[in-house]
Amino acid sequence: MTPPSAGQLLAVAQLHQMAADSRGALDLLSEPVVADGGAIRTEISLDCTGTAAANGGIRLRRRERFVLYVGADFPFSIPSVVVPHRRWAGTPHVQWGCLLCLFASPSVEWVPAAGLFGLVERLLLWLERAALGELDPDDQPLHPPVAYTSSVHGVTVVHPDLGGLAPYDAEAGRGHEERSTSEVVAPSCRLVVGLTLALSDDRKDVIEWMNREEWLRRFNAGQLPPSHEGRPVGGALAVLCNGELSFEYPSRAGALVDALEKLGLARSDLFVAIGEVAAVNYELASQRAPGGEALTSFPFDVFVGTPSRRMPGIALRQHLVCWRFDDIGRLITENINFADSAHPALARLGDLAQRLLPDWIATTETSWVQVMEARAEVTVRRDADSSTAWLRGRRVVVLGCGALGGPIAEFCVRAGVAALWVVDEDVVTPGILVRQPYSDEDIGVAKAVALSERLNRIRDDKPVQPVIGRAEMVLLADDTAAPDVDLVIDATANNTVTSLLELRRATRRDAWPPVMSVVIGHDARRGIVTVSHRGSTGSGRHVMRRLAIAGRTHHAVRLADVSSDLFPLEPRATTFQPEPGCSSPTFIGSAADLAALAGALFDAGLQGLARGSELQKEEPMLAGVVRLSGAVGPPTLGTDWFTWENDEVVRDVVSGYEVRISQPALTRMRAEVRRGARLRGTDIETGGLLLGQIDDACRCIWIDDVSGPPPDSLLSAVHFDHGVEGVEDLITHHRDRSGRLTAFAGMWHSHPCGKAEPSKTDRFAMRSLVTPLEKSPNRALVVILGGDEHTWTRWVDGDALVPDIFAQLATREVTDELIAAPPVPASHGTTAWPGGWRCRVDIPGPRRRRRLWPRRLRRRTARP
Amino acid sequence: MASPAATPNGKALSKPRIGLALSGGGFRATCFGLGCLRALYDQDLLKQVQVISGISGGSLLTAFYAYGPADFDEFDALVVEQLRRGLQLEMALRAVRPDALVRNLATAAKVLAFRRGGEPRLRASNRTDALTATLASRGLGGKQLTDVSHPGLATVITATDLRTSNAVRFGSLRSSCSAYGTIAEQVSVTEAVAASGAFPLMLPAVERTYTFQRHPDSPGEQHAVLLTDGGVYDNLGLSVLEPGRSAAHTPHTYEVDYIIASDAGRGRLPLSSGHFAAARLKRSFDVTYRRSQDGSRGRLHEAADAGRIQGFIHAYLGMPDERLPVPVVDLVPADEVRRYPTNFQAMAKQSVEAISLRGEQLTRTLLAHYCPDL
Repeated sequence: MTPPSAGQLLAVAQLHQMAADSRGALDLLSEPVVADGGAIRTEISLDCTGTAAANGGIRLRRRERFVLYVGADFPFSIPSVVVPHRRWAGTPHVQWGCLLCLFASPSVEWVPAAGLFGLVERLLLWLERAALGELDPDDQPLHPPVAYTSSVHGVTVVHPDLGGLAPYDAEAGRGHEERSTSEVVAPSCRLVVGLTLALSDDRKDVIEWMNREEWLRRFNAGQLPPSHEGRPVGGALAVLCNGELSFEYPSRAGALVDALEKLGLARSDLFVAIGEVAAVNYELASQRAPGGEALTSFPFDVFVGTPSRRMPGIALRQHLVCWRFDDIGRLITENINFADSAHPALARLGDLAQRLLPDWIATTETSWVQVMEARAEVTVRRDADSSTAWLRGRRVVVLGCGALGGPIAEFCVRAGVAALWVVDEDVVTPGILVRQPYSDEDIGVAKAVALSERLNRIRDDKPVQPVIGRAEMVLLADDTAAPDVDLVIDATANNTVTSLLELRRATRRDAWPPVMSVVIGHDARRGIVTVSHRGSTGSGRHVMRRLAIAGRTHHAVRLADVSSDLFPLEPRATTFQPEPGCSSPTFIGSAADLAALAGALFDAGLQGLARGSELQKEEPMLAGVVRLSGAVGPPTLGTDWFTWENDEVVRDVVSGYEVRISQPALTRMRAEVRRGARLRGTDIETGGLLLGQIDDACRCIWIDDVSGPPPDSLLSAVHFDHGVEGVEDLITHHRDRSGRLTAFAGMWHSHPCGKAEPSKTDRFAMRSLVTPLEKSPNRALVVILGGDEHTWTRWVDGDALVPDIFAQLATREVTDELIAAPPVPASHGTTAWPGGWRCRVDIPGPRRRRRLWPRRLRRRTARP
Repeated sequence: MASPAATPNGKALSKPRIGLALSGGGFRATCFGLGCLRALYDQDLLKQVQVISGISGGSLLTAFYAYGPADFDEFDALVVEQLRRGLQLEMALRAVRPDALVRNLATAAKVLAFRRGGEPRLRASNRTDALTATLASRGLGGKQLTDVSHPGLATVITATDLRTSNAVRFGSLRSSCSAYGTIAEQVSVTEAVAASGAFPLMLPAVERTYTFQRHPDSPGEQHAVLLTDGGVYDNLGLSVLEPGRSAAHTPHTYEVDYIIASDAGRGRLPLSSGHFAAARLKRSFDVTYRRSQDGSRGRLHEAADAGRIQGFIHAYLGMPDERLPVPVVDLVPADEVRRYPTNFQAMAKQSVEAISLRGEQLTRTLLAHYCPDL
């Protein structure tokens, strides 16, 4: 005999201590001895006097006896508590009629350090509840009846909801939503059939529920294919009850059938139904078999469903167990239906089967298959309330299947997208296995294909489709239509893709789905996600540019690390090229870095997508910065967010370029107009510089900032003549500060209460293109703000967001006509004001009343 | 562009809230602050100002903005008129009117006759009361602190209680002194402004008795306060706007996203001998003000860097011109305006234009540079 382990000795010591300290409340009835299997067995009795009792509870005697089995690995295994009687059989949480189920969730409820003290405390609590009949209270998940499954049968996965097929659902449309366990309903059972696929010897999946009539109709109509995608098809009978059988499923088939009969299912009806399903299974198996005769048929299962509650307040659903017939039982059931056959031999076989079935039922033991629930009605998605909920049922395109696109595509599939396209032109190389989600056997295979094959193994409905090719060419080939998806994710980190996306999207921004872009830094310590909602001015290129400007200007402190990492002013001196030859430079980072960044960036992006509609309208463009620990930079919790309003978009009909005037620029033009009105009068034009960037690839001009009129400008009611004083300094300041992202882009002026279109002088100026710069560019944007009195006044007063805006990219023409006959400005002869801040060219300083004596003193000291 | 500190879902859908602090410094501050308000008006930001805190000359501007004409141009014209007319002559005339003199003499006699501890004997009338009367005649008469012209605007006008050495803050939502609690009585705008502007070297302290309540339900207690220039306590008016003030310690807590300070301080002046008592005293005040303001400004810059507020703009009259981060070709130089005195005498037109323009230039330029999203 093996000696007791250290843990068991500890248990014995704890028992002796309790017995000594409890003054008779706990008696040790037998000395602990090592029993078979290595556990030590001991019997104790507990004083149960004074325990409150109630109807429906177990009846406790003055003292109750319990047998404890303490395993050798105690306290790291939970001792079993058994009662040496069957008085409590049938009580919830009593298994095998005598084994007490003390812990609902042993991994958190069992405290090894508390040892047997904790166990006895728990046992006393159990007894209290059992005596009050509260072991299965209404506000706790219902303990479903126990079926002791056997691993030899493998598993059965149940996918479809039973929904209205449950017997209590059928009645008058109310059914399970309102019914509670306490309601008494007449017992009844329903028989339905589960269409089942055999995925392997060890796994069967129920993929559809139907009633018996439908099952037979489909079979007779030839609509039940013998196999589906190479997997054998069969049926399983399900008996759905509206009452509970007992707390444990009977171990003998006879008892089970008796119990079902008590719930209203006549055994003859059950047998007929069993025969129907089994016969069809046999026929289907025969169709599959090469010789037309099945040697091994489809395993025969009977599901038994009883009402069960998932959580308090939630409707009752069917709890399913699965009874697998043994081979004899299956053979018998498959032949029952031959009893009606015209063929005498078959009829004899059928008669025999009919006579054998009750005997087999009476003698055989029930054997249970483990049921794995995938029914939505009884399961809760583990990602139910997370940001990925946005993705469920959506159609998504992921451009780029690399370090970020790969994980993000997987997140999409697991989150339940309806369809996913993964786009990439590259093949899997050995070097990327370090961090991208591919395997050795994928080497040489197109990434899009390898990724979609792997991801399609996650879900049976195979939602992923590969697209091999350059993202921009494949997806953006058609420049008129918006992609027919719910989300475009650009994970290419490719300037060409980003620019083309920007260009294409601009033509139909109201039809385009939201666009999310993700990029990471050179050492995979930080990343940026941008989100552009439907209708927003720009997508990744636009938002990244605005973020880059913010990082160099007013958010220089907050974004210092991001600027030097992702928007460096000079190209990084050393690039990381992992393979020899002309491979593209990449970043340094591990699979762990990328899992963290891809997850955090995607989660942030989805949160941005799920913003309320008002926020989406107000700030439709977002950028989130995510930093991993170890990143140099401000310590930010979660995502560091930046958001933008839409720009004012004006199309230059001549060049076709789109002019995007930022809201701050527009506000500053209005401030200059207001200031001009106060200083010089409401009818005097004003204007200044436009600061921004012209992007010929995106065919877009960004206006980020504006200035007012320089002091040597001339302003009148009919003309604005831009001065030059201080202009070079101002442009240099903006260009240097923004790292050349914001520089001279053109000039603006106002036509107060006039048309937003160029006058004759304006047209001449646009053709000759006189700019206030020393090195004048050969093109510049001209913006004219105007509008009739109503429009203009409303804008100036702040009641309307925009005036009328004219914008044109003017290009210098050098013609003799222009040189010979410049039009004379119409302002000639009218009052012209200077520009600048001061309303007069020269304002003398404040009068200083000097005292007389210092002046005299100074004069005196100045004398020789 | 805005930059919410929270998640994109957590951000409230509203325009950013601005807190405006108008510093003390006589008419120089009033005039500089006017320029600051013009810059905010042009940017359409005045309507986002949720709380305006004024000290002394800044409290005068606060009062004209918050309790004067709702139309900006009318307000602007009214303030310019006050600056051009000045307050001092009228105050002097009111202080020597026979009724005021008689009251003043009577109080002085009582103070002499019953000199003892406890609550002080109050002077019934003095020159600061003349300031109150003068302000009343300039468009602020009959207004209570609750009668703001811009709906939802909170005002804070700070004075210093010389007895408890605490701030007494008057405002549209509440008036209080941290030593005693909330003032139960209605307080007139002119009284608050006069108390806040009673620069100790120039005007006597205002003596008042108010009913204070510790809690809304508690019985009131009468306490006398001896009010003088709020600048003694905090010459920028910024402390009330600092983030993280606990409602447990002060009833004056205001949640704002951006803080804009108009500061008419003149900056470091050339070396001074300070041989004479008056000059020494004046110099000491300058140093004290500057030191305490440095602390307040530093805390707000820190708060902005840490993201507790979204931005902090400090338009500072005495700022060295070369420190302005953006080139402004026709900037009014600091040296042109910094020596303007801090009294309430009538200002020359050129002075009004130069000081207000510098305020406007600095505010617009710094806003565009540091808070372009606002």
